[in-house]
Amino acid sequence: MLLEVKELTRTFGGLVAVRDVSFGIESGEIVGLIGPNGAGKTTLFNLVTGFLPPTRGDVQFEGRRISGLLPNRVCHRGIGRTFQMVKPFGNMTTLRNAMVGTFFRDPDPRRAKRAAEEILEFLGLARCREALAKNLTIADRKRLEVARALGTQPKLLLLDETMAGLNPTEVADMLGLLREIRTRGTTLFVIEHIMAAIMAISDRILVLHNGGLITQGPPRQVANDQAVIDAYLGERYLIA
Amino acid sequence: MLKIENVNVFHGDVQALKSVSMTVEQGEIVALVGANAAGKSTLVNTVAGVHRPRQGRIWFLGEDITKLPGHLLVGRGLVLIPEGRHLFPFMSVMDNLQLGCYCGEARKHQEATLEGVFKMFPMLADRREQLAVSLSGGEQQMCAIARGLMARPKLLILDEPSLGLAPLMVQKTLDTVKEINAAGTTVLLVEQNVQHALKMAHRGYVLENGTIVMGGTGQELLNNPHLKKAYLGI
Repeated sequence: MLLEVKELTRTFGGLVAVRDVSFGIESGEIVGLIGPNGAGKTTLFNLVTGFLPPTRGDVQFEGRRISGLLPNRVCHRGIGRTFQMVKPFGNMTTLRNAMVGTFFRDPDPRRAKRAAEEILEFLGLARCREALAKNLTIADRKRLEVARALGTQPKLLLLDETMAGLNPTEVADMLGLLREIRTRGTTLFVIEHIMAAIMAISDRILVLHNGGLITQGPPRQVANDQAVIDAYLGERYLIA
Repeated sequence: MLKIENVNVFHGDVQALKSVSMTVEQGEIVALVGANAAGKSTLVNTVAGVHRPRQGRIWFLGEDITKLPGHLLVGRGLVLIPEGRHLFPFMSVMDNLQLGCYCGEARKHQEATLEGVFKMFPMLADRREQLAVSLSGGEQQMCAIARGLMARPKLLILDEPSLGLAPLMVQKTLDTVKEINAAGTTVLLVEQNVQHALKMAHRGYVLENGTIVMGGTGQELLNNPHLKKAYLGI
């Protein structure tokens, strides 16, 4: 088991944002995380990556406990993430922003630059490598988030709504990239509201509602689950 | 109601909009679709007074508003709900909503509008005392939409209102837009959810590389082979 989450709970004052959540992710999987707005998805990401300490419970990565570690230590262990609200360094170029990620593994500027260039090329961002990050479109800024995270050479990559704001054609491109990232050896844990995307790419989907895990399983099974339809989908989602 | 004539907009040296002309009639829902970086947000931001066109004119309710600043436009009933939420993070939900009706006549109707907005988004009523920053991403999006409605717009411009919302909320939000329209508000909708947007719109425009390449009824555009291939992935 690459990642193992045991009875994880996080409260904010009286609000239980994540309640007794347990699950595991195997190496090489793509696991989706869905749920209504405010269900606790991003909080769960924050707990796994050390941005928030859990109130109770335990997170293990490659058999070692990581809950309680600071985010940079968690990243060193091999967990990368993107943020829903993208915050690139606006007055730095796309390339420089990507180097923020690659410098994490390699202090040599030339090698870090080359690694960053390769990642930008891979993600289709090479065309705007000299553009200031603040001038990128939202879709490109989201891809830059992925670039920065990839630069840290994660074994497990957590993606928080990286496809929001993309049209169906752009989503299809992104799905291709994510599959390629998996093929290159990175396990993926993905929050996404675009059903066409999450259903197509996930081996398994976890559903969070009011902080608790209400079901998990293969996409088709989750899409037909009445509780998921009522709480999240609103209507039956037909998988082609 | 809104008429855009040969508008050119530049970001620095880069031309973002090239001679764009379009209209929105009273009572319509008009959808604006196109790939990322096509210029959709630039166009609606220009209409709302955030960007200045280098050439061209914009008319709202028969008056030339090309040079009017944004806050005066809000007072006249032209309201943009921007992409990316832009809430005041360390103010409460309630204060954010109240700021929505700061300009023009809307302030007098604050209580009635607030009641309607809370009916649409009960979650906001429950969390009115919470800081905006403590809301989840999707909840912030709802708060941003609600803040726009507080201004009692005559023309409501929504830039990607469904961004970051769960499927059920996407439906609810777009249903809400339809209701708002049925109650008399004209709507200009930028939406990545092309199929949804064109289905609910009376008319639509397709923007590519800063130019309007196509216009027509929602249905016409949905059936257009180029559009199907480029945006619907069919």
